[in-house]
Amino acid sequence: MSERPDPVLQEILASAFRHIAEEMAVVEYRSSYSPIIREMLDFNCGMFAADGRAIANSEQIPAQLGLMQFALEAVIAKHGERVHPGDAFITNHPYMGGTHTPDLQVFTPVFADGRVVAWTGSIAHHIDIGGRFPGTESAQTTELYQEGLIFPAIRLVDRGERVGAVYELVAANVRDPAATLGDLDAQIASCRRGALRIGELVERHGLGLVLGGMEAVVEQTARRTEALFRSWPERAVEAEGFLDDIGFEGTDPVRIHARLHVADGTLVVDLAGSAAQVPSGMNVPIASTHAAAYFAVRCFLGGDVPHNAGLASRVRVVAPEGSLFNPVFPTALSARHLAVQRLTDVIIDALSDLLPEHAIAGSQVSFPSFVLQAVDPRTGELSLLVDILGGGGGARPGHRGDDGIDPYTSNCAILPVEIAELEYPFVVERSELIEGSGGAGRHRGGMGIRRDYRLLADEADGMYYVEQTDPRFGPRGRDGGGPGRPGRAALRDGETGAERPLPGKGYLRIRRGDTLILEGAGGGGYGDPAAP
Amino acid sequence: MQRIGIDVGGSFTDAVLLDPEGRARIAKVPSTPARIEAGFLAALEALLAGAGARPDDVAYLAHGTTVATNAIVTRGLARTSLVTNAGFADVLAIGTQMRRRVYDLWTPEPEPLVPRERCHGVGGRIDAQGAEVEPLDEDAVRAAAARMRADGTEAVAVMGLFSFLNPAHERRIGELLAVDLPGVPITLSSDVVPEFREYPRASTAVANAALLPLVGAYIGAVDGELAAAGVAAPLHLMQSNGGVTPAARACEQPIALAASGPAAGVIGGARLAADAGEANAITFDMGGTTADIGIAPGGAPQIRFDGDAAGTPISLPQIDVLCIGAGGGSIAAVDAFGALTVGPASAGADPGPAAYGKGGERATVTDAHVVLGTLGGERRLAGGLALDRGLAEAAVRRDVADPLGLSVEEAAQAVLRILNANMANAVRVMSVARGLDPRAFALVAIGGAGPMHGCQLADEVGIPRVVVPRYPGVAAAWGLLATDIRHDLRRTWRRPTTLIDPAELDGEMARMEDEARALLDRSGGVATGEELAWEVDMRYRGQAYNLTVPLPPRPTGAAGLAAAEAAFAAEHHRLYDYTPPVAETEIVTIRLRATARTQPARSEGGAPVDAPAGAQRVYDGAWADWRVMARDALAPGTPLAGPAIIEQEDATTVLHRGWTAAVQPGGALVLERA
Repeated sequence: MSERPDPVLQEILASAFRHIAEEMAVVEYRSSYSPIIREMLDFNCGMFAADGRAIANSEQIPAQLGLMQFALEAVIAKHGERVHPGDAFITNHPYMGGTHTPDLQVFTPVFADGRVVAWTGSIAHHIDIGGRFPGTESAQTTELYQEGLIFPAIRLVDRGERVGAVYELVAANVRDPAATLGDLDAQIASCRRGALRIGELVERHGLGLVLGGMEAVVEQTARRTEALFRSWPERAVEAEGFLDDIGFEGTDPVRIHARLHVADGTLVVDLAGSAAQVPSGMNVPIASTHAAAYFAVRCFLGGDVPHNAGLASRVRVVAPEGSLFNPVFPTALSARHLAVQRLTDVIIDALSDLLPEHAIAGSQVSFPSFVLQAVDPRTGELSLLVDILGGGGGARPGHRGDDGIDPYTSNCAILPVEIAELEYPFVVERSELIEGSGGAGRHRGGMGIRRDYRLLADEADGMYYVEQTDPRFGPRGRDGGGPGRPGRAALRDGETGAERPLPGKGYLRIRRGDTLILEGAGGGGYGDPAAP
Repeated sequence: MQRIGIDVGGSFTDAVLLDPEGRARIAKVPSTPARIEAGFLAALEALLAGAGARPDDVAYLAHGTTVATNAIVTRGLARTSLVTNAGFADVLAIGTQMRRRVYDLWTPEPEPLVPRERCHGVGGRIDAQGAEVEPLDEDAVRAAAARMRADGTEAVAVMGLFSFLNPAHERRIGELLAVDLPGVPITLSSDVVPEFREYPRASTAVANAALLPLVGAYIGAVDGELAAAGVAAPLHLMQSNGGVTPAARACEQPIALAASGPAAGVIGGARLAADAGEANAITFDMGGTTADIGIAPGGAPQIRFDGDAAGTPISLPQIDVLCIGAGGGSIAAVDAFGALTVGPASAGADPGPAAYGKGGERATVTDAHVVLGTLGGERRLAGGLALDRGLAEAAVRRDVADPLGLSVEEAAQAVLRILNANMANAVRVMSVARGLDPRAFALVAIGGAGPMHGCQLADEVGIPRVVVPRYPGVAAAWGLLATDIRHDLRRTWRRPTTLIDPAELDGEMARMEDEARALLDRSGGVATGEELAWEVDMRYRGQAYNLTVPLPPRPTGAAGLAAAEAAFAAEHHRLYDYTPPVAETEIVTIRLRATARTQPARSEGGAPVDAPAGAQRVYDGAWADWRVMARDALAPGTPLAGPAIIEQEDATTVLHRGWTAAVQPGGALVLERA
């Protein structure tokens, strides 16, 4: 059925696949509602083979790259032949290939000659999907059932008709139904656009060549990846890092360890030395564990290796069941991003040892973030403010670290101050780089960002977290460079003006005039600062 | 009376003169980067001499310049400082906090236009309703002024939070700085970008300020040369929005020129297509390094409201152009895994393609054409450059044919297939991705290399007709004469549509109208037919991305708002295929486009001349003799069936098998699929 395109048509098809994914992304962000999607771009789109293997992705946020195929495989396994033109499926189940519950994934089948020939998919971080905490996500959940609605790979649209019951259930269970339903519409529109474009491609080139092109894209990437791995040294390298705690004040640090080696053109990322799963929301679903490994590896493979199933076939992640990076149902995991970022940093540290010419100091992974819900006195409506602050990038052999970035698998935009104040009952009192926060070095680490949010409504509540507040685990310097300054959370009382430190992660209830202060860590420095 | 358009590019200065009968005369002279105004004057003199006209015959002079663009790209800008709110002095350094190259941990993010040490925070706040909640700290402004005096600041930008609602603090800061920093130009963000989102507003204001001294000096120099040469016609400059603006206004808002280069090509291409009877045009402007794709449904080039220049966000309306790295100099290469890529790297003009024989060794698009015979042979390029077939063949063989196991002719064809596919993707991004069907459009092939690729690109995307204007190589200069005077005003004015008080809306619109009329008055009598067109940015409540739809003229009233809302709903459905269940809308920004016409240009062909037709061996699957025609010798009505090559002083048109060409009375060549 599939026909092999000539090398020139192959390049043309590969480029068309990428364009399809990018066009899907444009449809999605332009028509979405939650600031986390529309302002911060926390989403991805992709096209997939009929069996679920990834062919091409848009590239908004790497944390969600390379993991949709796990969820799509679950959809295919469950629905098999009962898939029709005009269908759409929704899933977020962390133990059926999903990530954490706020990441809703929507898939639509693409039909040609009366059968499924491809899939399109969209993953987006929704602002709230219900559960114990506003914004759903928290380090302090203790079982999956506190983490909001779970969609176990179910039908959302049936032959063009929305499955009304699903929509009703969503609307009744989430804190901002208009935003959630609007964002779902945007995801479906994006998938449909992708399906339409694949159909046009089939019309233009014929089904056989398009299918052959999809196969060839995967094979080419696998060959490319394999050849690059074969050029790497064969010795094993390892690195470790720690999370401050499991998410509750006073708990012990959590070890993250990675051992890497190349064997027969495949890179093995062995996480067996990492901690066992923890009784909090800090665990990482296996799909996200893979996303961290893919990201770190891709940085060291260079710019020519796209993300698709071919890359995935050459990276083997070993994470024992019941461990931090492969927890068992129904372990909590909504705040998985903190460990994902730390794992990425550990793998990059190890790869810096393996390929010293590309060594780089650690970027901060403090990821200060919060969701606070409050009734806006201007409108009387409930609103959920979410923001994500950047910190310092790691310094390099020839240049200081970048100031104020959201590094590694994350790349969210910071919320514009004027949007925060126009649409939510808060004043941003300052938004600035933290002088001296970058690690010392011949090249200093990047500076962290500080933002202060003062509440204008009567009260607000929600969760916040800042990882990397423990100076022992600050962003690592390299080759004699110093560590970046840790992150920090604090609260200034509106009545007394007194400022008190907050634990790194928690649930917060504040009153009018109170100010939440968050600081992202600085990046690690590179090289001995005293050396000439 | 003569009308003149002069477009100064990096390598060449293109110029067009239209005489009172509408006949065109063109000139192409080398640009003079060290003293740009010298090349400008040389082009002007060449045109006047050719037309036998005197400087005081010039009635209108429009000028396109990349001086602002280049200054931003090369950071050849004035030493600029920023004054903003205390606590927000890092607004530029933080930006969006997003990384441009996600997988590249090693390349530093670009530095902002103003370094941190020249960003000054001063006390005072306006809230989200536009009310002052903390008075301006005037002492802090004076202290900042003292630091700016000490550090040699040459220009200042002022960006206050919520200044688009209440510019009082920004204006007061401007007054204080004017006293303490005499002679230093100042840009207030509320003057340039009265819209929400502080970072793009700050970034745009800073870029504007940084250009003020430079662009002011350049325009002053051009004005001086013109006065010395005896030209009294008012000088107008091309803006990124596709309209021209009087020189004095350009000196106040130089950032409006930053993306004007590609805009003139789109305007010129769209107008020339309209002259040839094509309502819907996709403009395809291809040169040595890049191809610019624009789209003009109904003859109106599409505008976008957010852009950037060299990584700096610029919030100003600009003609929407997609620029990709595809040109005659684009380098073809096969990597270790057998993947063939063409561009974006370019051999440029120096050393240029291998066939130039100037030391370039890499295979390029031009070399592929030389191998296939569509360029070269007895024919030379503009400027008399001969092309060396042996060098081209050697490069294509080594870089493409041998690695792929193809013959050198097949390899050259492969290079063009990849190139055309890349350009076709760009056309699809500009058309199908916006809900526009390219099959309902004509492709306007302009630029030195556009007419060589028109047929194949049209085949690739299913476009039925290609228009090659009379002078495709100087279409941008032509665009300067085809364009209107244009001023874009906008005001962030957020309201749920249902809660708008029509009287309040009309008051806001009246203020904008007064401002627009004052701007139009500055063009000093060269324009007629003033027009005001209103638009509104609208969105469903909760969305952040707006769509811009027409707003009926004043008095707009409830019925007018309802019409805008209906237009918005239709456009949203057209683009995204759905209507949300809760369809409440809000308006975000009111926009006013004030235009005035400067006698539209009409293209007329030169008289046919006797030029010998030749022949050329060309490979398109097999070697065959193709006719070579002189464009100047083609008369209206002459039907011509492909394959053929049509030569003229500023471009080469390749007419493929299966295509026909006909000269229109206006001089344009229209290629159609047979």
